[in-house]
Amino acid sequence: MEVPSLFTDQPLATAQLSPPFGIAMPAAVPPVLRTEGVWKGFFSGSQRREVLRGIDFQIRPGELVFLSGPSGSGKSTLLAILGCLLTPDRGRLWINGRDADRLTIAERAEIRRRDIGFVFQRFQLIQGLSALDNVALPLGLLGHSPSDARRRAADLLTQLGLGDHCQLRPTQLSPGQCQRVALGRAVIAKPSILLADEPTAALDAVNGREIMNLLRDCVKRTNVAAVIVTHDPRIEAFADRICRLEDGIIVP
Amino acid sequence: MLWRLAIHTLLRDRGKLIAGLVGVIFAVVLVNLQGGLYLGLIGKASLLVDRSHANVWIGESGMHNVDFAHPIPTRWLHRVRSVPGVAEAEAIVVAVSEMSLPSHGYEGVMVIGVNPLSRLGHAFTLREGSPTALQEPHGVIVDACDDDKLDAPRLGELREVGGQKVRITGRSHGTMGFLVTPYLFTSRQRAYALTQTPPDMCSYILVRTDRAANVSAVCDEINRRIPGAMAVSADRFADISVRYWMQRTGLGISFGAATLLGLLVGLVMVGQTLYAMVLDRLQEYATLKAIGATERELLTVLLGQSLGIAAIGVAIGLLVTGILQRALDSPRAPITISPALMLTSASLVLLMCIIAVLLPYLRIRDIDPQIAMQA
Repeated sequence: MEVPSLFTDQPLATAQLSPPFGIAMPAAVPPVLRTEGVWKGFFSGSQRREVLRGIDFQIRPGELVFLSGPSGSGKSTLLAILGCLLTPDRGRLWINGRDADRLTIAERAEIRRRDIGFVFQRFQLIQGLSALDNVALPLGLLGHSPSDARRRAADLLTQLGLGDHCQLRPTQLSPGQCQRVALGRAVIAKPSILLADEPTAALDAVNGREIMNLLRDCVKRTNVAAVIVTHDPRIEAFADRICRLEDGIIVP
Repeated sequence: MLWRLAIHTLLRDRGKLIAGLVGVIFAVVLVNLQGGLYLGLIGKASLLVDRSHANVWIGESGMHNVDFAHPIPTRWLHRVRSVPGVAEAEAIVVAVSEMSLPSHGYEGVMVIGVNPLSRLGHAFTLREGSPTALQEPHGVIVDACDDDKLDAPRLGELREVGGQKVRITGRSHGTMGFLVTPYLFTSRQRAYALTQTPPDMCSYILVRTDRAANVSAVCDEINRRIPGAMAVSADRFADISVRYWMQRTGLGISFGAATLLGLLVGLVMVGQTLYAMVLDRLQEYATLKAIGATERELLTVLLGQSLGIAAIGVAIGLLVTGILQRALDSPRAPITISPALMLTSASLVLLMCIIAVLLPYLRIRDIDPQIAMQA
């Protein structure tokens, strides 16, 4: 099966993809994202439950890392902390070498805007905007002119195979197309980190594989560091590395 | 891009957009109609002055309302005419009397006695009758808008005013004062008889100054030369007459309260609309926060939506106001909607829409971006 290749004119065949495991990153390349001893707990009524218990994690540019594990193991909580959506109770977080522990709300928003792209399970597209404007949105937030943002978005949507769907709204697109639009929105600003929360959960097998092909293509060609939360065993073959969480701990 | 997001999101939810528009249109129409009625009504308070063709009014010192005159000596007229800059001066009489009605009742009238050969004090616009109506024997001019009060006097009909015979020789249209008492124009000499005013007294002396004359200087000179007299420009006296009614009747407060109420209703409706739109889109706002939108940018989105509602609402509201003004405007209840009033109403509604953003903005501030991850 051939899928369009991000940022190039050449299609990328699934068969050409690198094997999922065993890609060793040069030790000299510093991690783009790193945690050390991260703890996070929540109250359920009067009972406090520790969801993450001393997580040490890191990812380097060009790496595609899966976070897997059973429900309630802390995958999504860790992803939210990595994405500066949550703050850890204890431990430290570095993003591109910057200590992200004590940032203000505005500084965290700035990091999310410049350094992180998000792909959500339910796409989370803005229903009132066309596919084109959804993809162009992050560039608008970064201060690009609307015409420039929309031109770049149109190019990217074409690469994602949605060149004819630019003016359609999310309600007029299939789930697979919505997730491609969401992927476009996540990568258009060329972030250094891509975080995806169950990106294939709402898709059938074919669309799930297509999205993973696009994601992997994006990672390898743009050198973005991607963390993907999933418990979909069908896509594990796409990962460079899989971190399995159980009871808030990364198990070997 | 944020403005695009604001407007597209707004237009997508037509039900809520219409609810918000209704609020803005209601506020615009109410502010303009209340303001127009207010301006029309207070305009009536100075009608005699505004249409007098005079630019200086002279009365007793302390005069405070054109309809409530205090007698002054008519001999002042000669001294006024001798003041440099005075091109023309005439004495007029403003006094109350009663007209007999065919239905055997009486109706109070405000008799205005003027010089038939001068334009000064001729505040009426004649619709029926001869231009020399006031020169005809027993001639008086009544207003067609007072037909219901005066039992519709016809041209040529004889009536009694103050026990004296009068003949309706002219009918004007739209000469209605602030008081419910109809105006009745006649010659000054006849007015003395109709109102039992001593012939050596009058109510005001009206002056038309030379084109080159300084009105203020002419007033000062008259005030200097005639102790006990008060000479003011026509604009100033119109203002004094309007203020009299505003301060003594609380008219401004009454209309102001109604206008404020309209704005409050609009504020609540626009605020409620925006708030409901935010509640419907918590996930989208959380997503925007998650991808790095700041609270300031989200405030921009809200303001864009609010200003969008304001712009469309003001346009439709002014259109509806124009239609209502055409339908409801009458000499009895004039609706005077000036460009300044429209601009003021648009500004107030704009301000109202900006304030309406406050509550939804506070809600947006509370949105946790992490909920974007919740399926």
